[in-house]
Amino acid sequence: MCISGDRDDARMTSTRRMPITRCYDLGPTRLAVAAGRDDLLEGFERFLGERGGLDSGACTFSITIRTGGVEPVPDDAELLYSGPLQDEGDCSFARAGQRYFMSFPGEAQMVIDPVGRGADIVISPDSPRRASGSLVPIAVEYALDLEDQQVVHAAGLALPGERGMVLVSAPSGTGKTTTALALARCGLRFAADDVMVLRRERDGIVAWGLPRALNVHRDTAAMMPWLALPPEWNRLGEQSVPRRSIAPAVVLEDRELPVARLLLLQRGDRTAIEPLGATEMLAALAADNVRYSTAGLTPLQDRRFGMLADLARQVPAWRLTLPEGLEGVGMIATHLGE
Amino acid sequence: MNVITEDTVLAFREAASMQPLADGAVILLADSGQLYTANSTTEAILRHVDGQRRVADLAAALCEEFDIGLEAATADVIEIIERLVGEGVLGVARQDGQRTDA
Repeated sequence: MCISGDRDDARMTSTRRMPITRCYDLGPTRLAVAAGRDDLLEGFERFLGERGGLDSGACTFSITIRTGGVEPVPDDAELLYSGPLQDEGDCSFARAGQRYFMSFPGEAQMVIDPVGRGADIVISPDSPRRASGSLVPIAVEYALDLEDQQVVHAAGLALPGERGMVLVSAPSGTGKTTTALALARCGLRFAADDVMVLRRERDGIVAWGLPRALNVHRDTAAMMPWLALPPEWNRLGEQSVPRRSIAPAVVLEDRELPVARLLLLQRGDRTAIEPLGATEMLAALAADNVRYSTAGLTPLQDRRFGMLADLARQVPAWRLTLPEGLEGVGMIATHLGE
Repeated sequence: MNVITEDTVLAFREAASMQPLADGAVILLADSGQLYTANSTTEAILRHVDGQRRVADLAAALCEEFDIGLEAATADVIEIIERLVGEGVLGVARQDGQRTDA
């Protein structure tokens, strides 16, 4: 069901403007996001903007964003997680019946209703930054899951020709963005630096890249002057770079392609690529992607674990060791291209 | 503490989720996030754990799959099962000798 203006108006408290709706093409998932103000949509635009432009009549999942008072989670809700999120402070995640409640106390709350194919996000007027935080990717995860699509924390690069997609997996901070950009500069086509989407098809698992803006560290920019980034860095020494802006320095890949190889990236003293067992690959993927809770796996996380297991069963895996910097990346690109 | 014997019947704990693979298995304990990798022998044992079969049945199944004698298989199964129970992957469903409904 799609968002109508009437529905949004009925729920608005402090905002009484006509809603602005953006619609995104996420493969079989068609996402509509409506808000009373343009700035409340910035988080989704940074995450999905390149896939915008759909007709709202075709959507499969609807999200509304409004400002207002954040209501308490129902008393009967089952707490699944409570604790800090990196750079975002205290958060809780709870389930009541078929609905999920993601809350930043006093600042924002998202109620996800997978059965109703929608989510409502309420942002405190004093905390507009919440509209661009973790609420965005979590909402997208639930929207994708309804069409049996799962996100995976990995960079994606297309092999030369029509030989499929390589996924580069590693925990945050290992250098996925740097490695992906360097491999793309060596001839692979760049799909995404951090988040890929998986879906089972008859002939195997296909992947496509979520087109979120890249967070490029100043050290990466120094190694890659061809990025031609302005010297404007945040407190983490990073800047947000729209994916489209790195073309034509590298070739972008927007299509979904069969996953042909899995790489588990690690840092070491020398460049090496060696076969990796399926169990070790799946254990690494699960540790980085499957969220557990005191109440066990949610159905979405259970499906994600299953998808990652299918990936590890079907696709050959390799352990890629690279020293700091770009040494050896050209050799790896050649190896992957052969 | 549970003593594992040939008559012990095992079951997966509710929080344990196993994915079998060509070279073993990955087990996730969903309530703690603990991940375990299992080799092909352990995977072969776990594949037969169903809340009904005794340790002796698991050992017999292992003998069929691998070139190993029953006595050695039983000892291996008991050792592996004790470890998996200790880690919280498996629980003791019952001791068949203690059944009262037989």
